[in-house]
Amino acid sequence: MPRETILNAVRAALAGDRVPPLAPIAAGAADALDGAALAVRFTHEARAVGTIVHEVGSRAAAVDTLVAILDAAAPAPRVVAWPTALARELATAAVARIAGADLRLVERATPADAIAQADLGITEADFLVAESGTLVLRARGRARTVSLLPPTHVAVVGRERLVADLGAALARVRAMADRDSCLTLITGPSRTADIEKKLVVGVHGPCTLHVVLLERVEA
Amino acid sequence: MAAIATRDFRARAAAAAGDTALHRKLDAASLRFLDKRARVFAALPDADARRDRARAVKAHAIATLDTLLPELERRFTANGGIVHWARDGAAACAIVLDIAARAGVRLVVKGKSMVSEEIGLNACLEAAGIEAVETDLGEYIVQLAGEPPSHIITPAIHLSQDDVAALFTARLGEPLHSTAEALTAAARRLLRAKFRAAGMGVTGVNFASAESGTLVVVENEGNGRMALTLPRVHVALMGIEKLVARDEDFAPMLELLPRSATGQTLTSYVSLVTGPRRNDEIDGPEAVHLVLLDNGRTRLLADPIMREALYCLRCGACLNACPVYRRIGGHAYGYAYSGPIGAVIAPALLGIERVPDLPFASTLCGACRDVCPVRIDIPRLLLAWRARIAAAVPRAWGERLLVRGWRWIAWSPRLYRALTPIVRAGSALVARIPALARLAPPLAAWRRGRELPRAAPRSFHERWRDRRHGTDPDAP
Ligand code: SF4
Repeated sequence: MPRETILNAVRAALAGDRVPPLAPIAAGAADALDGAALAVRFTHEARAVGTIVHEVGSRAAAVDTLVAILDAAAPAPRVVAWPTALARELATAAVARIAGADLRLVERATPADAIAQADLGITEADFLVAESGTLVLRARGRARTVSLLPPTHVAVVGRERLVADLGAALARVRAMADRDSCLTLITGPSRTADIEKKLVVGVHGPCTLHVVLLERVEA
Repeated sequence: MAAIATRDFRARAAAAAGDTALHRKLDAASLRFLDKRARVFAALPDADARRDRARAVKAHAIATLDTLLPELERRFTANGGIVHWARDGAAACAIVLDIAARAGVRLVVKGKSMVSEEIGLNACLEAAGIEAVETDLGEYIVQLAGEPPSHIITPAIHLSQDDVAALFTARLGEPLHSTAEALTAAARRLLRAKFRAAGMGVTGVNFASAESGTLVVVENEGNGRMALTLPRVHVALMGIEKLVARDEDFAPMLELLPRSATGQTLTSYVSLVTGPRRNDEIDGPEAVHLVLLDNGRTRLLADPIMREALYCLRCGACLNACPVYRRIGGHAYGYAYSGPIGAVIAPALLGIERVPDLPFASTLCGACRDVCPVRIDIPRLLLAWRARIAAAVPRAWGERLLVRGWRWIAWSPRLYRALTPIVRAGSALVARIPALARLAPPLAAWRRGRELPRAAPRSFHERWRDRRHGTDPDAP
């Protein structure tokens, strides 16, 4: 059995080794920052990698921002969105204001082609990592392809989802009872530098990434 | 993968060393990487302490692999994934073929995976009539060119934009594109169709945690996400050394890998995969297979000197930093892993009989050790390989004689002092009449590709003595 052969070789190689336990990973200095400072840091880091961050004060302002993004994306835009509370509410309100716009809430298995044909995908970030300008997206009840296949991805999220660093975000995820099959971290649009080191965005994933960051989500 | 050609190193390296166009391309890319790397590390607080911590995480994981591997298997299986064990490359390929056959797969889309290059998976799939398409842009380019990748991170580093445009025209019938944007857009369009039609996605694994059975896949383009999301079967290929003990170890590793590799704070995408799609999830693969590959890694593990080579994150920084790599490129090494780390692991994975030259392709300048995020002491490992190879593989008689003679002289201060003026006079003569160096055969061979240094006019001992008497004429 290859399994036993490999494990026996590993055991033989390590025989007699004594290994001191590994120290726990200490929290980073950024942990001390408050909500407003985290938002400043997140916005700075996210913009540095080409994410377009819109800081808005209210839900009404968030809808206005979404309408502007949709208008700029395409005439009569086709929109796919997560059915999570905030994404559903904002997407529905914004699409209602644009003539000919079409919204599909992805609540069950949907052919990838249908999602790929959308002009824009709207998701809701579960966490934002301030230190690296990163979105953390879960998979349960949320189609992974919405943040991957359309050329533009918009994530809506409230400030209370900000955490200091990656370690803190992953610790929150670990604390959840159920594991999703996949957790996705997104830091900027899809990019490559494989041809003569020239930066090109939009290789396989979205060319454009927006984050609509709400000061307060509670009505 | 092209056939392993580590034995042809000297001929390939000599050819590449004269290729100035190649040098320009390598310098342009690798020096940019190095520069960006230096800047992000300068901006990272406690960078040195973080490197120590990352090394400790890997050292701990490697030293406890005997418990971590079964734990990973147990966890990943409990998550609904399927674990396979492969003793060598052929076994790993057979496993993937079997999975493909059972699932009726005709087309495989591939995310970037060095293990796949190591085991030659594409050739294997194609021999079985299964189309395998590389989808990382750089890998796609070298696959179209029929070449192996020449860099761990930037596979097409040796090709210019014009080369790529010509390739797309010749192989894909594309019009001759004149920008990197247009070439990228063409690849996006062509590969979208492949992603849609593929029954299986194959990816590598950058880290895996035993604690939860989570696999981490790091990338920038989104092709990795496509490969592990769209096809109904996902196969992850992983060397057994990629394990870490705990989920909390991911953050310190993810902090350093992109910074070292490309100078990014974090790559555009990081996927943390625990298994197949759950009942209440909308998309993702129905089956996820994890192939654990040994292929010589347990030999490295059993070798107390070489073991630290297993800490490698495959960031490619040591390639960029290496003055030898920047003159000969990755293809000269004749193996999936090139550059300084390639020269360390190739003899272990392939056996020193097949890799007689790679550990000698280094100036031992230490630039690789200085940039390595987990501080692998590559020069020390290269020296150890040299000693082993010298003991096992007979060297040319001239070289043996020279080294023996040198040892004899160096062990006797009196002899050394007596011979010094003679060597000095000889060196001065050769400097004046270079043709003389061609007369002595061992010297002539050595001089191909090297400048004969001129002996200093006065020895260190002489200068030291004069200095103490305040009479050193060379003193500043
Ligand atoms: S040896 Fe170090 S620098 Fe080289 S690829 Fe591995 S981790 Fe990176």
